Amino acid sequence: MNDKEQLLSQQLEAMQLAYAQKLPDKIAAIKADWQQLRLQPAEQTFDELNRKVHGLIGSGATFGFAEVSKAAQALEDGLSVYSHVPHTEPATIDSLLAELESAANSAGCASNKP
Amino acid sequence: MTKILYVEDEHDIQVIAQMALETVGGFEVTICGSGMEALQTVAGFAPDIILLDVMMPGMDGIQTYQALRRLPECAATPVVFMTAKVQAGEVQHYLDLGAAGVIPKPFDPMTLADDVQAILNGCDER
Repeated sequence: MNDKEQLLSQQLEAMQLAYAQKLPDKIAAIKADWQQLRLQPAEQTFDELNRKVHGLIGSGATFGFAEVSKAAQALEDGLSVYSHVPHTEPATIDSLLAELESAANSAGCASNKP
Repeated sequence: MTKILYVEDEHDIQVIAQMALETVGGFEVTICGSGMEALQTVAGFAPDIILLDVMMPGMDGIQTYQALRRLPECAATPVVFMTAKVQAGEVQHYLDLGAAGVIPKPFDPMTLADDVQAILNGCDER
């Protein structure tokens, strides 16, 4: 690793910690959108939910939390089915959301290790 | 110094990409948070390459790309799509549109600058 990469690596460590600390809020926002969608289906709410989930796919592994990206990808796929296939059980999304939350919690724990 | 315009709506990704591209690659980077902002910025900044997120609210990456291409000052500027949607058909679609390359998300901050440089080198050889 050269000096520039070493410097970036040090900067990344601090950013990973900050990102992990923000994950619970991101998950809470996703859960809120999902509850809103259940109560009152609307294209705008779905798009907003999908955008937030998609954001986690792109950012999770970049910050060192591959399981977050993976769980977010599974949720995005589930939401796609939910929006296209009539009578898809909402419980499927609940389950995928719980897996994403678990991955985010694990990321938080991992970032707190010395 | 090579100038990069990076169009991305996610703040976390903006910050980490800028850090990676400047620290490791030595590039000059300007960030735009939307397609509209990119259209307003591109002429003044005159980038050597544009990195474009695909999924953005408002103008998405494809719409931004098409609008950028209509501007004479960046009609030939290499554009790279950065996206989590990288199935073979999706990548081919971006290349068919005229993209210089596709960088999959999530990206590795340690190799992002090298990936961009490789695409730039490929453009120079064409």
